[in-house]
Amino acid sequence: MLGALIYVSLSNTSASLKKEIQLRVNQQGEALSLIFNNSLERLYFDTDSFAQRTAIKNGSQTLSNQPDLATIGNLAEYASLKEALIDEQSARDASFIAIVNTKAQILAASTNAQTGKKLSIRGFVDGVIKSGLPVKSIEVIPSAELAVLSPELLEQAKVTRRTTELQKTGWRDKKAETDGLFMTAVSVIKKDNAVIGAVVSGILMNNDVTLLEDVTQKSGGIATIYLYDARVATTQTYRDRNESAEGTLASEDVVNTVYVSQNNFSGRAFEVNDWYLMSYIPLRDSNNEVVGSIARGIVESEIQKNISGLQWRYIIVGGIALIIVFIVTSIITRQIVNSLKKLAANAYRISRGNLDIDIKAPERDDEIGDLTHSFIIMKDKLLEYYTKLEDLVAKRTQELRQKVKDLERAQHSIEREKNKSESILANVGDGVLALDENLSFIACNEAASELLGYANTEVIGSQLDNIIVLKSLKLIDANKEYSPIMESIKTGQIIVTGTGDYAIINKAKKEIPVTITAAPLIDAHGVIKGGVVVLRDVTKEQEIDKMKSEFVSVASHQLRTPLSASKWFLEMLLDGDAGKLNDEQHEYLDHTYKSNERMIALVNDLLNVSRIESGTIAIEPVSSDMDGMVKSVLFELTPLIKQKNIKTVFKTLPGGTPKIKIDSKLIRQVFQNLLSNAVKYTPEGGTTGVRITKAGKYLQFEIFDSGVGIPKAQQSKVFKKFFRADNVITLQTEGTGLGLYVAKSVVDASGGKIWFTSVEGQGTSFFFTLPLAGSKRREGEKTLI
Amino acid sequence: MSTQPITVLVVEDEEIISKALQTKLEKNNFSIHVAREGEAGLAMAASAKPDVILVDLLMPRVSGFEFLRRLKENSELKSIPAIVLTNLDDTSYQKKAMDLGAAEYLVKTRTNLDELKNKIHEYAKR
Repeated sequence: MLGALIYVSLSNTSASLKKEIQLRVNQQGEALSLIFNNSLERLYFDTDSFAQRTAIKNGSQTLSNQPDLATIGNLAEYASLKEALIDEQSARDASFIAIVNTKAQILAASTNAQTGKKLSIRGFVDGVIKSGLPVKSIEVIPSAELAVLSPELLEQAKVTRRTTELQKTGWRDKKAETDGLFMTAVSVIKKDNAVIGAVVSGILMNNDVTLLEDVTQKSGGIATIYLYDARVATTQTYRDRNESAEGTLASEDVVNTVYVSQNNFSGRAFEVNDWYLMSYIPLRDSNNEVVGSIARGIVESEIQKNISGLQWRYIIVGGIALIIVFIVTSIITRQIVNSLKKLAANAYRISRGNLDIDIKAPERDDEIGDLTHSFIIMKDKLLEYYTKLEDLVAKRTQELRQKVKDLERAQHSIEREKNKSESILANVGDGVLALDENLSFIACNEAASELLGYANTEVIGSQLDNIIVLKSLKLIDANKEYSPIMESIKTGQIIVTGTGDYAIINKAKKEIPVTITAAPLIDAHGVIKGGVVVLRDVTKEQEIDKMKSEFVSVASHQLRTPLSASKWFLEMLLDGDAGKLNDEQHEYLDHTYKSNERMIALVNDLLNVSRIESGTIAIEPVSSDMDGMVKSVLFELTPLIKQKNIKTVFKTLPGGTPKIKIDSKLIRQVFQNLLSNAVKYTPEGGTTGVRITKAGKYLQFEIFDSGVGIPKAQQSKVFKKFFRADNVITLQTEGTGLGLYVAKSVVDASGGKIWFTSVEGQGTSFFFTLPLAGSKRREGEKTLI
Repeated sequence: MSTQPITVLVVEDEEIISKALQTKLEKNNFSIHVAREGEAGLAMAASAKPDVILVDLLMPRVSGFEFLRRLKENSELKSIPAIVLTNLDDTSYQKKAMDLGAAEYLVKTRTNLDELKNKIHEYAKR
């Protein structure tokens, strides 16, 4: 019976061992996918910086202006462009790099491509040129275009399909795969802000096992790349002969999961001629179509052998151990039980109150002896405490009598204090009220009854809602039911509202702007017993605020005239319009130009703040591509990112973020403010990026950095106007302290939320959400700059 | 360059602004006329027949809006492209100017002179 038990538990172990191994295979699959992503990312950045070179821009423009593209091969520009492309291709280990015009026709390539012919990659290149943004993707280049690009590449891509056991038949009716699976990156070439063409680069994955062999040599198993169901590059060989399994086909189960249902595959799969534990990760092109996959796996027979060997060893060792344990225990038990029986009898006597029993000192030298000894000490101690207790009771009774006397004295002084507090309250200029736990008023001073228009006697005993009617004056208020007074009593926190947040409507229906300070009344046990409310009439302050906003608005417009004149004259000086400058003069003027641009930005920020505060911002939701927006903001920041050698990460939702209706101009500004902060405050070689996730009915955007972080003591002030953390003012970074305030106002007005987490010295993550259902339209005459 | 230089009319009340524009454009072989407000601008448009007009919005007497309205009412002048160059950037103003027939709406602090020069070339060519 025992043997059977061990066997059952061991077969469970073997199942969980298998699960463990499958998990490891899945991790290996993910790791391989990351390696490919990394190569693709590198290609993307390299392609993009290549497209920025002036020589490339000029050469491309000249060639694209030629009337007949088929004959441009004779031109000098073609020759030098081609040379640059060949250099770049070999430096980047790419399979080809080509330059196309705005119609995706080839102008030049690192290969002997036919100029003037189309390189569309199934519409991918045309799409990028249209959008103007750099894009990377896994793509299939059809054989016809490969032939145009380079006959060598066409030959290199070709893989003959081989009939394979358990394959899915009739699914893909082809004798050979002649298309190429490529890692592809496309960047547009711009001149004078107009798109004149694009750089297209690709790395062929067919027949390339370098990366795959790298990983299998390190961590074993097999690694394979598929173009649809065909193995186009693999480390796997036939079981019985050392011949690559390239060209063989995936099994029906795998094809159904990865290509028909388009999911990851994880589990047991038949690979060529053996069963394996496998992990397949689909590769999607820019149209989100699954065009291939990458796979990692371990052959099952290997695992099985190890597991059953282990099982038998466990059974034998376990059996022997069990027998030894059984013999030893029964010997020890017999010795101990007798002594314990004696001890238990004595313990029973003591529990009955008999402390005078005499217990024989132990004759044993083991743990039982020690136990008996301790037991005797315990009994003696008990006797001692019992006598002490009676003395103690007498002493405490005396002390209690004294306490009662003290309390009587204290009561008198409390009454004196109470009279004093009441007279202070009556003479305070702000309205002060107190509520009990049922939200009815228990106190109200002169100033409060004057402000509210109710007599003191009307207020006392009335319910909160009947006396204090609040009106929210905020730009937008997601929750109309929110009351700072209720919130304070509910949460036990002190809440102070800002000027311009709320007004009360008094008995005479007059609207009076107020600030509210709400504090909970908490008793000695920490239970909330009501609250105190202080109301301050801020009519005057509000008027001043409004005047201030108007002044800022007028002043900003006035400032722009001299600022634009300075900008233009500086531009002319820098362009050498007033004569050639020496290096030093050029440098000084460049500093002046940049300062002037900063001043323009500051004036724009100030104007934005005054617009937010006057509440006249328009929200115009249009269906927007969030991924594109993030990429283009990141792209704008590329110069600074490269200069500081910062690594950027962009994680979107699987299959891309769905389009949502938001005011793209405003939300773009939020990304600009948050991302430029992230880059600014991240030290050289750090990491920053954007992560998009779904949170219920919202899209959540995380903008993270490995920067200096925000000091804990200042975290509550982050979204206030003109906030700049102590630890960044000393850094040499520019900033007006208005970006986060603007970002919060925009997110609030768009129906989302914004918050952050930060550890000083480690980094900061800003989060904000936007409703999947889109922002609500809001009329207004103004928009942010 | 063709023998006939491109003629540009600048309607702008701020002297420092019109001076900057004039300096840059004349250096680039444009022929420039400057008017200090809309009324004078309309008269000059009729006499000089410029290829392109640059017009500010906030000006004394006849504003840029009024200028655009009257320019587009005049059958002889309405085909001249008028580029608004202003420091007002509220969407409401922009919409109003475009509705009145402005060819383009540029904000001064966000416009480079080289860009502006290219724009004028573009419109003069049409």
